[in-house]
Amino acid sequence: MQRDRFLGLSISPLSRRRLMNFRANRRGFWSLWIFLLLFTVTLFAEFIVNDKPLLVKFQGAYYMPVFTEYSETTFGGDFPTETDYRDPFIVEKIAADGWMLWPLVRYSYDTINYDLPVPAPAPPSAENWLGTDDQGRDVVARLIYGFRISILFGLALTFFSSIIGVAAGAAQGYFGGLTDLLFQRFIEVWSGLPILYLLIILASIIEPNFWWLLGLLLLFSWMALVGVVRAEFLRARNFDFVRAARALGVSNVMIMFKHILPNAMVATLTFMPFILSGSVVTLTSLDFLGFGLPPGSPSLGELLNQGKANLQAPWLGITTFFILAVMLSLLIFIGEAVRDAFDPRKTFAAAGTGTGTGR
Amino acid sequence: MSGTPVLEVRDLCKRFPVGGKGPFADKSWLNVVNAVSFRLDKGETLALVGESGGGKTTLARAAAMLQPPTSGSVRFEGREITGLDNRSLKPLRRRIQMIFQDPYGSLNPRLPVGAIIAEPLLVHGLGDKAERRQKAIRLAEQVGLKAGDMSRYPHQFSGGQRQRIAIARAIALQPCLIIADEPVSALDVSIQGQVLNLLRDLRDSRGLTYLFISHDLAVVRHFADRVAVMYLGRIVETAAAETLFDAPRHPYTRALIAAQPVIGRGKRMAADCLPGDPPSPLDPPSGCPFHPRCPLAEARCRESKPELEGEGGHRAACHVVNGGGT
Repeated sequence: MQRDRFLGLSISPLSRRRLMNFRANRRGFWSLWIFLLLFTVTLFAEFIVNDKPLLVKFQGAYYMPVFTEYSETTFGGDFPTETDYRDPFIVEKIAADGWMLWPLVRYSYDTINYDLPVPAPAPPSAENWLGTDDQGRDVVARLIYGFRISILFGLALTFFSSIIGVAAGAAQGYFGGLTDLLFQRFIEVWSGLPILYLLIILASIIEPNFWWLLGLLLLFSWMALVGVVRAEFLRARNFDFVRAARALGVSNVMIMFKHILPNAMVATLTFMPFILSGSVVTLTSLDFLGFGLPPGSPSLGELLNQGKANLQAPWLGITTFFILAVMLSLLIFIGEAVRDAFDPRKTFAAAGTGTGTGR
Repeated sequence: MSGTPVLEVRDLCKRFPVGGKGPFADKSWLNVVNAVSFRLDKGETLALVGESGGGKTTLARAAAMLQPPTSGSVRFEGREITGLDNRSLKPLRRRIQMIFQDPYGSLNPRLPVGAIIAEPLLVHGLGDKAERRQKAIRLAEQVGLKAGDMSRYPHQFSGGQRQRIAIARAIALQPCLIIADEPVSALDVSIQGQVLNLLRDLRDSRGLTYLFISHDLAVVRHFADRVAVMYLGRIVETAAAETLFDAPRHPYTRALIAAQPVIGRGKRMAADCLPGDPPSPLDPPSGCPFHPRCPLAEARCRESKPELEGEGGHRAACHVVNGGGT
């Protein structure tokens, strides 16, 4: 049976075959689902791992501390500052006339557990499932928030570097000639710069936050796609339908985006999962060296660094390594499945045996 | 034949650099089109014929300003169009359209047929979305497609149907000149006839002028008013179609006509067949470029280039047939 609809959208037979190819790669297919599950879960990390209760009932009224800040005085405390719901005094007050519904893990990424029975880093316990780091912060909470920020950072970096890379590659390939020549030489020089070293220098001049860091990495990561897109445009600019468009008077920009780019997207999409995993690795390595996200941020690289500094506390290094390994493997498996999906040989082999529409 | 010609090409040359790369390397030049001149009056169909590699396609592209010519002049309706930039060319693009040889390559595989046919209207800002759609459907019906085909993609059509789509796109802007670069040579013979009839009907109903490129003499005889024969980037003979086929003068034209397969005729005479391949345009022969393969070649053919000469619109570039005795 032919199904030419996907997620309620009608799709071309070619896309249907590509979807079939993607599904046929079982490892990649399941990796995608596992990854999406993990990512969705961590997107809602505030509801799963937080030092604020989801719902508080106090003196007949309901409060949702995750969404709104309430001052301590609301719950009968002494100060007009934000309530610390883990404070035994507040806990007692609320318990006296109401209840609190807590998330699964009662620590946020920056919550310090002051009641540790041993000096930090504390080993895994019923309270801190994977132990704490050397500042008494819960490792589970930091892993979950760290996973989220890594992926979000990777996605943002992939998105922006793809836009710049595609635009640069398109301009080079389409116009060719001197534009191409000069641009290629510039890229050769630019890519010859020692990237990590430069990032470290730049990061020591400015105190990088999320967006600064994104911008710094973007300076170098946009080159990943240029070669592929340039090659596609070099090939496509001599296609007859491009000539036909030119003969119709279509502007260069329109030809590039309407006529060539959709035909060059296959190569671009195939690269994206790999750029994503590369971005995650770069962020982690910068964090590991201490030149990444600002101190206090939940970052996998910083946790790895702590693992290295505290070899007597293997739960730090091992769990972070495990999470990183799983995340990167999932991304690579997804990338392989995407590559299979767009592989023309597989697409048309499937057409020949499957639907019999090949020519 | 009076008044301003639709298209007038004078001394058009197009050459490409080949060989060495970089600013200091020795470059040699490939003269693909060499001092070609012709004129095309309104409603007329001029066919360019010749072997592969003879510069026909390059000439067509240069005339349509897709690849600017190296030198020479192209006048469209009396106006010089060489050296214009894209912006100044845009209004002219409405009046000159091209049809390409390969209907599998000339349609963007990612766009539905409706969008392909409506694209010229969109580019030139004609009508709103609904009007463009209506117009595209009318155009599609004019070339024998169905309104229901508009949302299908090019790969769902046969070669002949695709060429019809390309024709619908070309006539969407109501051009006065259509440059057709081997529009039927990629099609089956039975489909060729249909597409040629469509082109002829459009010519009669819209008063189109065609620059028609082909290597198929049977097609040309059927379709063209005038014929120009090209060899190695030059026009070697030009005449009204009937005259050319009935009384060819240039030995190359004669050889081309003799080389046509004819059903029922026995073994072709060996003397009619041209020996060898066309010489390399990188290193063209001295004198008449045809002399190494010419059965009539004389000493002077090796030394000086013949000019296009003749009366009554039938002109040929050959010392022997033009010059009489030595």
